[in-house]
This record gives sequence, structure tokens and C-alpha cells, in this order.
Amino acid sequence: MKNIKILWVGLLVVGFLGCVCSVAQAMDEAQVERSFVQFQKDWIKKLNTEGKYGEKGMRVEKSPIDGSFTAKYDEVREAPGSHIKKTGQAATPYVGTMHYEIYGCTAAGKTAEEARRGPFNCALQTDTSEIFRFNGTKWLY
Amino acid sequence: MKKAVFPVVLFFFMAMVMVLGSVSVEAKCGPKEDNWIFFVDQSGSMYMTYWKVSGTDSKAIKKKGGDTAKVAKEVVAKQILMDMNAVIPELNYKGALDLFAPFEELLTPTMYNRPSFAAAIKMIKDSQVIVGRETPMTKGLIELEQSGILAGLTGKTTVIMFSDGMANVGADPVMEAKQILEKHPNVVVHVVSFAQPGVKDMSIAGKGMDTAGEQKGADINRQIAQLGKGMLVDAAELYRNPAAIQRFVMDVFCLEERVVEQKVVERIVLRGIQFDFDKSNIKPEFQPILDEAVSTLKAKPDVKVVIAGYTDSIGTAQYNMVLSNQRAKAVYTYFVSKGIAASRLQTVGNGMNDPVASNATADGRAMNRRVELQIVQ
Repeated sequence: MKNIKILWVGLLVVGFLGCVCSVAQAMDEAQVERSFVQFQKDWIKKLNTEGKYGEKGMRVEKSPIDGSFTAKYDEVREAPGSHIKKTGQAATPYVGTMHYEIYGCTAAGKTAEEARRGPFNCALQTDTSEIFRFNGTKWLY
Repeated sequence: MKKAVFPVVLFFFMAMVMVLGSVSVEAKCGPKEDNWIFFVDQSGSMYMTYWKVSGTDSKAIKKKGGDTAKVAKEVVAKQILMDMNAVIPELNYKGALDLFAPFEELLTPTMYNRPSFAAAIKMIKDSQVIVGRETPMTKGLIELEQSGILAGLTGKTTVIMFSDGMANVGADPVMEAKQILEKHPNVVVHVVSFAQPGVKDMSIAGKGMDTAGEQKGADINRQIAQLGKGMLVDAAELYRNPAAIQRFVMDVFCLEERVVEQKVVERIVLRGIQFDFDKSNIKPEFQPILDEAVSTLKAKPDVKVVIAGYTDSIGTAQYNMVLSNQRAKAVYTYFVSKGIAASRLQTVGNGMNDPVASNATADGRAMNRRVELQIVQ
């Protein structure tokens, strides 16, 4: 009888710890997911401000035919479908795939300055995914 | 003073012509394969006279009092190899030189450079005993397979076989070639044929050609080239015509830039894969990134992909070009090992070109270090 009671207590303790752990793990995954959402926003902002994308990467070309000017730049915009995936590997417990779209924006003008002022017409050029690894504390690149 | 100006101007003009005129093939093409092997027949028949390029004027031969102006097929083969070596672009592929009948490895697969390859070519003997040394081509093919050379190479491999196909003993070499090619689908075989069906023996002794043997050799060479999805070229044409050498080299070794510049309809960028300094092996912690990419590619079985490696600006342009190519190939090897068909994949190293951020900062350089999977149409 005493052994059965000890067994039941043991089972309850194990069950409780299991619930606590699984809740903690579920929270961890949710936190990882939230961190990836923020990482994606920061990454796209980085591409548009520090990278070759965005208005600061604008270039102006002169037409050899009629002498008119075309201003161009590429822009990164968020797209749906980003997700994380658990890997089961200790060094890389999660990978995350983010999606974005690269738009090509153009404007025409009689002078380079006029072309730079716009308005710009933006059209989708390329769908892009980027796959990152999470090392347990942060997303790496 | 005026007299001195003209020679100076002429000097600089000629220097410019030399610089501009020396734009190499490398500037115009990428490597068409990852590895290539010259596979040269050294059997007895290859040390017989190659009448297709030897003196054919029987009167002149008689007048000179002997069998002059004769040149052995093997000597012609050696010259063709030297001529090709002079123009093969020094791109990022491995080259090898093997002989058969009997099998000899003169140069193991090594990153190609002209001086090393020239040194290996010089080791081919200019003369050997003819009698009793038949062409067991099948044995040569088996030995190439058993040597493990083909199995040890990754990516696409081109074999350029030099042979007259004659006096074959043993099993059917065409069947053996077929088995090898089925086992190694990434191998293409071109044949430089020394068979000379219909050519007369112009020697004074005039012992006569083995007409049936020459025709059979020509047929064997043709069938092997067809199986290997490669070209069949006449050795005499290559020996006599430098333009033919150039064409052959461009066709075999050069991937034209227009093929590389296909329209990219989608990109998948692989981030955070770090390689040890100057290395291209993939560590286990980075494999989940590649596994995710493999899943994506398996979900799109009809797409073709260019695996493009990029680096930051640290190091020379040439160093980064080679490094980025090696890393793209490391990813290619991983994908193939996970079941992605090699025929769907191409690799290219773009070095420090096309940065996505400024290389002036550590963060920007990290953003530029990447491997892209460019889905093309």
C-alpha cells in the first residue's frame, strides 16, 4: 500500500514537471517566433537603409535615343509566409525562413533632377526567401 | 624632339594593342565542368604511322630514299595535347591526364594550371614497341573505373579520350563505356579519333592498312562518343588546324556567359553558413539551413537552380572568385547527397561582385557573405 502511494506521488511529480517543461518549451518556441518576426522587420529595414536597396541606391540613366532620363532604385517589401522550424539540433535549434519581395521602381524626366523627383512606378521583380539559423539566443547571418 | 615623339607614341599604341588583344578566354567564359580527364590510348597501334597527317606523296618519299615524313599517332596526340594546353582557360576546375593500354596516371585530378599539365604531357613516350601491344580499350575503361578516379570527383566530369579504337581484344568496349556512364551520369565523353578508315599506307614497304580494323576502330569511337553525349572529332583536323583546336577547347571547357546570365525568377538566400578560413566544408551546425533549402527544392521538382557563392571584399578578386566557387560547389555536393538531381543544379562563384551592403563595415561584409539559390528559367 505504501509502495503504491509512493508510485502515485512519483507519477504526479513527473506529470507536473512534464507539464511545466512543455509549457516552458511552448513559450520558448513562441518567443523564438516573435523574435524572428522582429528580426525580419529589422533585416528588411537594414537592406533598405544600409544595403543596395532603397532610394539612396538610386541611379539615373540617360537614353541614347531621345536624351531623356530614367531614375531607378530597388526596394524590399515584406511578404507573407515567413516561418520558423524546430530542427532538433542543439547548436541550431531553429531555422527561420523569411519572405520578401524586391520591387523595381522607375521614374522618367527630361532632366536627371526631374527623374529623381518622381513619381516612381514600382513593379515586382523577384520573390526572395532568406533562411537563417537560431543558435539558442539570436538569429545569425 | 619631334622625331622622338613618334616612337614613344608607337610604343604605347602597341602596348595598348597587346594589353587589349590579350583579353583571355577566362574573361569570357566560366568553367563548363568541375573536372576533366584526358584519357589517352598508348597501345601498340597508337605508335603506328598516322598516315592522315604524314607525308602522302609516295614519289617524294621514294625520292628521299626511305620512309620519311612519317609521324606516329601518339606523337600527334602529344602535340594536340600541347596545343590544347596552350589555350585551355585556367578556370576553377580539376584536370587529369591518364593513359591506357596499359593504364597509367600521369597527373591526378588537380586544380588546373598550364605548367603542371605541360609537364605531365611530356611524360608521354614518343616511341614504344608496337608488336604484341594491342588495344584492350575495355580493360582501360575498367581500370579507369576501378582506380576510383571517377568516383572520387564531385560535380560534372568530362573525359576526352584519344584513341584509334583499333585491335580491341576482350569484351566490348562500347558496352563497358555504357555501364560506366550509367554509373556516373555526370560524366560526358568526347572522343578524338585517330582511326583512319580508307587511308592508304604510303610507305615504300607498303605493307598495307588494316582497313577493316581501322573502320571498326572508327565505329567504336563514334559509338562511345554518342553514348557519352560528347563530340567525335578527327585528330588530323585538330593537328593541322589551330582554329579547330580553339573551337574544340571553347566547346568543351567554356560555359558561355549568356548561359550563366539566365533570368532569375526567385531567390533563396542561405545565411549564416560559416566556412573555416580558406575552406569549403560544411559543418553540422549549418546543415539545418541546407536541409530547409533541400525541402524547398524537393517541393519544386521542375525548377532549375544556379547555386551562386558570394564573398565580402576581404582578399583579392581572384581569391574571392575561387573561394565563392568552392563554397557554391560544397552546397551543390550537399544537395546532391540529399537527393536533389545534379542535372537541376549549376554552380557559379561571383566573388565579391554584386554586394547587397557596403563592405566598409563588419555588418555589411557579413551581409555580403552568402550563398544564393537562383531559380532560373
